[in-house]
Amino acid sequence: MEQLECFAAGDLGAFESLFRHYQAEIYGWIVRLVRDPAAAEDLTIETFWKIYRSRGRFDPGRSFGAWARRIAGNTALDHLAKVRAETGHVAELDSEPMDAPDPARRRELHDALRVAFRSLPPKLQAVATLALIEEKSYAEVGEALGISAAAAKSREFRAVRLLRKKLEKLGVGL
Amino acid sequence: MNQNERERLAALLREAMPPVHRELDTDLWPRMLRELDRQTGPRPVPWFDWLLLAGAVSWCAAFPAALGALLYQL
Repeated sequence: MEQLECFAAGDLGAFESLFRHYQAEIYGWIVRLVRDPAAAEDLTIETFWKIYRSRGRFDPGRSFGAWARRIAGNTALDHLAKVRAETGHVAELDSEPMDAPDPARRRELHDALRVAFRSLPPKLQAVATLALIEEKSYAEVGEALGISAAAAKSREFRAVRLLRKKLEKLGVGL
Repeated sequence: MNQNERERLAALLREAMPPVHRELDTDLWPRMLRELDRQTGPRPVPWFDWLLLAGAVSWCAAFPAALGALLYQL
């Protein structure tokens, strides 16, 4: 029996092999979306628990990686929504502003961008993170979030439009 | 929005929030195993069940003669 069939049948050894093979990739997707390494580890475990729990619905003829990335994307989205509801923002990695002629002005702009970005709806924030910051293709973004490439492009458009409006409200023109 | 505006906003976002290139530096399988044990292991008995059991034991201790009736009901 193939590994994926064994996994779908509930074989723990097959699940372990798949976990070890995909854990770094799934973690990578999640950490890009939530931008918090500690939370990303917890969410990777949560993702694989969902995968294990749903093994009976997995079709061994399809790609395990794509299925896992979609579950990871939805898990990360749920996390973003929860964090946004609880605290009104998402955790940020420390970042060094790039050199600029006027560092104070640059820092203000970065702060305004972060505030505007954190206030985006989670679905738009996720697409904007992957497409604009991580420079992933619409196809990759769509696959990770369980939507079509066209829908990913449309969400990115809405995210950019909303970001511009929010920045204007904050008194920042692009 | 034109392509230039998109690219400008994307560049500013990447400055403010640089892309995350963080590798997983630990094997998560031991944590996964603990999670599987936690999720699939025996669930704790609800406090109400313990209360019910304590009540039945107390009742039997107070009225031993009624034990036969209780067993008959079970």
